[in-house]
Amino acid sequence: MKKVFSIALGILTAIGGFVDIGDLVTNGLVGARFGLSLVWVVVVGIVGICVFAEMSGRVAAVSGRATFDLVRERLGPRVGLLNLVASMAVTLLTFTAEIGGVALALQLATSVNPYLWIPIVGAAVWIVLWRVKFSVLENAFGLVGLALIVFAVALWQLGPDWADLWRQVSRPFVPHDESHTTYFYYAVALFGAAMTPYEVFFFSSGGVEERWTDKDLGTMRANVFIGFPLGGVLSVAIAGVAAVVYLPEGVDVDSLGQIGMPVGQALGVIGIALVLLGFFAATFGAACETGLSVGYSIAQYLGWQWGKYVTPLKAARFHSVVLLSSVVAVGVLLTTVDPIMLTEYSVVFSAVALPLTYFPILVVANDRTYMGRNVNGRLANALGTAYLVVVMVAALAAIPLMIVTRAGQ
Amino acid sequence: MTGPRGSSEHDVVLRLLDHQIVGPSGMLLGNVDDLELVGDEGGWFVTGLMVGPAALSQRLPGLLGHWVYAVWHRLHPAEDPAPVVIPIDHVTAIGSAVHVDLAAAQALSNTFGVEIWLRRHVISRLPGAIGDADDPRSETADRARRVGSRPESLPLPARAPLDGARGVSTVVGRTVVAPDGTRAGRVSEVRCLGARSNGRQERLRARWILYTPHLTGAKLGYSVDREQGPALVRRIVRTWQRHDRIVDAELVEGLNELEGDLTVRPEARPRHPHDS
Repeated sequence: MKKVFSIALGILTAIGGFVDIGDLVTNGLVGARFGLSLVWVVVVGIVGICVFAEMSGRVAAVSGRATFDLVRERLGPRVGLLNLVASMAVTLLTFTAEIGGVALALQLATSVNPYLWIPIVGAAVWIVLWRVKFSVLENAFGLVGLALIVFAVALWQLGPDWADLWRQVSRPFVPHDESHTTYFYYAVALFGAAMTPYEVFFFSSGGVEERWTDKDLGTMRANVFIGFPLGGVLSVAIAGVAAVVYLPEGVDVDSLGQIGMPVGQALGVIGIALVLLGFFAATFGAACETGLSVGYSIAQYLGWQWGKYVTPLKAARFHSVVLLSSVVAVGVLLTTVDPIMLTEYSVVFSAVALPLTYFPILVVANDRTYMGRNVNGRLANALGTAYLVVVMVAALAAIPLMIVTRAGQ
Repeated sequence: MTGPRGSSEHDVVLRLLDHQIVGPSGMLLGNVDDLELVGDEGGWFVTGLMVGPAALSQRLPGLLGHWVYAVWHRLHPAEDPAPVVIPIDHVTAIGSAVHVDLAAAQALSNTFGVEIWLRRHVISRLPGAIGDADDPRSETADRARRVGSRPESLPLPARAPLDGARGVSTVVGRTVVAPDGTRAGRVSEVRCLGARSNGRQERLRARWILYTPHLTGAKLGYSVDREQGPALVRRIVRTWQRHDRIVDAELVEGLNELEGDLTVRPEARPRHPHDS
């Protein structure tokens, strides 16, 4: 019974924790401009994150090594450092965007200027990372993030033409007022949002924090293979709501408020309240995950003691990095940079950094001296290899597409 | 390819270098930033793990390496600081991590100057850092004070590198020249033999040298395990590494020099690592 409960909790947490500011913004924006014609990318991205999260979780459970340990070990200090710098730039950018997202959600709820919220949110995130137990941190925000299910309910209530939506999903086309390059630019952005590298840093390090062993592989797989796809359904629901309300009007979405508005239209005040709660929990939870990921990765590259499973005094360098990155993120946001724009950039740069992270995981998941009988099977290897190709194409295409489309203008 | 007295093979670049060091209770104690290599009449031996910025800086590119070294040298309290070496007989197991015994773990955690400084001056001053049951503050402060007035010698069993010792990284990447004078590649791996006796790891004797025309991807492990998947990556890496060769370390000249090319003796019969 306890086992069932813990698996159910893990799955619910994975669903609620799947969506972050990148998914919220990119899906809302894409839904309004391209309808559901890019849902195939979300599906490709979710299968991809499932494949690699399972691999990294399995390596962490069996060998006790988290992802950045493997990066340094297999790529050496030089390429590993290049990888660290690139991944940390993206993760720090995402961290900043998440804190900005929390501030925007609080602004929507309170009408208080977000620049007043930013330092408070930064401090609150840091306090949670400093004091709150890992399991509480992971579960609480994931569970509250489930409030985003209102997007699915709202889509139902809006009573769309389901046949038309299905046509958009099953026969993707580029809307006549959009160019092919912007279409593929947003495809890369959605892919980057679904497969952000910090997710595997956090997932594998979290496995070590919770002291997974090979006995926990079943629970881990249930989280990944049930929780992540259901979380992806929330992403699609966000795009669907935007598609139904904004696409026919030709409205461009560029704020968090616009993304949540249609839910209010469908469900009234209670809908708005749940959307705001969901926004808050999703971005705050993701801020915690990205903040920890910065510390995890740097500490793992250098071999420092890390993690919340030891007392802070035993991981002084790790906690100093987390503290410093919170300060940096708040500082960046206070320059009045637009958090939504930061988010758009962070998902595209995520796509660039993907191969650096996923290649070493794929190699080590095949190393029989570490993994014993838990090495990759045929399916994991076939999918892993296929995704390596996809990820490399996305990484190479990201920057040229960004330049050609002037970041999707 | 097994050696005498049940000694086992260790591909030290793949299996030791850059791996996490773990203490008996699971504490994380840095990475293996380099390996101490000592030569005597019997050949070359890996005698210790080198840990810390001084060792790592030698493996970082150009200016960055110099900077890391300079910053470490400047911030170190000792007059003439030496890189930290943990003798290899304190290694208790070699797996995905390198496990060391309690004495080595305690010594290592006392060499982490930045950790101790941050613990003392930043982290312990934050609200909530005190009162952790298993980490009495007095011990921390005491340890920090000791480091503040750190004597020149490192806490035992950590020690400075032996006379004439060098990092294994000074061998990795060296150009290898075939007997006919053509460039054959660069050193990618040193395959060593070492036994364990009474639970202690004996020093590892460098038995074979592997070299490759392309160092990129040399640490992925495909030159050791010919079956390692996935198939597509294996095929690409194998093609990439098809000119890799392994040769008896005794038949390579130039290891005594710190720099310069290594020459393979004419009687050596280099072969591909997979053709055993």
